[in-house]
Amino acid sequence: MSAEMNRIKLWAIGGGKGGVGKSVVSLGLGICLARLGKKVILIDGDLGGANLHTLMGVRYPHVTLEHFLLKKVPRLEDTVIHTEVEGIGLICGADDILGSANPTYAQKIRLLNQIEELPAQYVFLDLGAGSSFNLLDFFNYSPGKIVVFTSQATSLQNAYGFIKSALYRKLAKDFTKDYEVLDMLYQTAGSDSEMPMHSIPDLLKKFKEEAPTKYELLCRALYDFHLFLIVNMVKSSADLKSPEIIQAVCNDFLSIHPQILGQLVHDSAVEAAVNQMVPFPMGQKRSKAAQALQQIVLRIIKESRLPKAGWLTNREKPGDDDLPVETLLTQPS
Amino acid sequence: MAPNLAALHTRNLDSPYIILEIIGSDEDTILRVPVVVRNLTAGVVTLEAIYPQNVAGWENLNGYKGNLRLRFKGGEDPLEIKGKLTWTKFSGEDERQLTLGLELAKPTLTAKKVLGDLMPNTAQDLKGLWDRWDHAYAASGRTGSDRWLYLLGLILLFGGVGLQLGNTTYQMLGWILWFFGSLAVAGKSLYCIWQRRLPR
Repeated sequence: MSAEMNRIKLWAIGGGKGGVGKSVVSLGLGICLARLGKKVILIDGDLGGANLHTLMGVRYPHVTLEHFLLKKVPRLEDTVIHTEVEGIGLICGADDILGSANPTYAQKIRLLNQIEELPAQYVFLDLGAGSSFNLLDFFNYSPGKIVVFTSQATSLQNAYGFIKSALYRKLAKDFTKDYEVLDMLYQTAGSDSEMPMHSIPDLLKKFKEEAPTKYELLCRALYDFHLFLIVNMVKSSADLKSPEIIQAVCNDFLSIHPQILGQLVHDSAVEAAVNQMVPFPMGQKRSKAAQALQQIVLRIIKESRLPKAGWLTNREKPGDDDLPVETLLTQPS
Repeated sequence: MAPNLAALHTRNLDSPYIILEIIGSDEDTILRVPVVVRNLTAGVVTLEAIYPQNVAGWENLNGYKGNLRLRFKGGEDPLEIKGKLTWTKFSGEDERQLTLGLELAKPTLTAKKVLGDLMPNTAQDLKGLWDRWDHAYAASGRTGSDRWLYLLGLILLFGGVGLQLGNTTYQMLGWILWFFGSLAVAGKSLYCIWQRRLPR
């Protein structure tokens, strides 16, 4: 399949810290895409702490991811709940009672394989807080990677920590049999000032001089790890600096270049919608957060369709009904 | 006098000499204590004395003014960072390590960065993150003072106009206030535009 024939279907939304609005952002993106006529499925990937269904006003889901993981239903598609928002299907997360928060390797593979088969143009996987290996694996598997954070110092630190953990997890898997690379990778991850290397750029420099093949492979692996940033609950102009801080630190120490998708201003309408269990931004077209979400969605549509070498995995052929990117970008919100 | 070897080992060949000057209550007595940096929070730096036995009366130093003097080996200008001692204690094996908490008084970004660079075993990326955070935070602090300058300019401007319209006796004063108020607002606006045009 050529690069031009592919587009990103699966988008994972992570961020490390809890309470930064990952679920609200996932829901908002889904609703905005559905308004543009796209078919969307939201998956609550917060295994053990699921509540995306509550945000959508579904109090008692009759079927959840747990049914699929425990093989009570054969297909993931069978767990999709149709919601009041036209065009959006919801797969509710599982509680931890039966160990669903820690799926086995086989369960993970079955889940990821079937996500590819879901009947939707966009699938958003809302991940939980933290940076457990399972969570990082789901994030890394998704070709579309979005990190949501706020401008709070703790959120910024956790977001960077999450990005670094996910990248090192990916590199450790990519170079699983190359002990030399792994050894040096662990050196760069530590904080021992006596070690000669402290960052991925140090590692790249060393390989460029001494092992060009490994250098090429590492460059490729880093290029593949393309991610997007959304800063949520922006309250002041100073808060707008936070994605730039993450961008700069990722660039300087991890040799990756995250792209800023947008900023969502703090909006009391969101809190009200959460408490009323009304999916945000339904009926909130004029709120600033809703307008910003609309802009972000247009960028997601554009990014999901732009061919990028190295992103060839996990894409699907675009449907005939897809509008050209230019049309979508000029549509009024 | 035996030095604290653990403290000495945190230094490398390029580390600056750091002297903590503890200023007595009469402002004339100054106790000079060679130290190393052990920890740094947003407002307090934890120091460890290299020769702890020399620090007499350490238990009574809380609340004293303390100046950190850093002398660099490369011939760069020495740096002075002002603060106040908030705690002192002996700790470690056999209680041989004297640590002192110095609350920094409005440290500059350079001071924070220099102290951060002296921290042993710091992850460089996290340091990069917090350096940038400090920079952004300092810039946002400036916007507060910007607002006050605008407000002052507007008060002068409207005050001057008010005086001109209301009272012929104070017309000259009105002109002066009006002029300086306009100058403050226009100057600050131009400065902000110029700053935005600067490359990051």
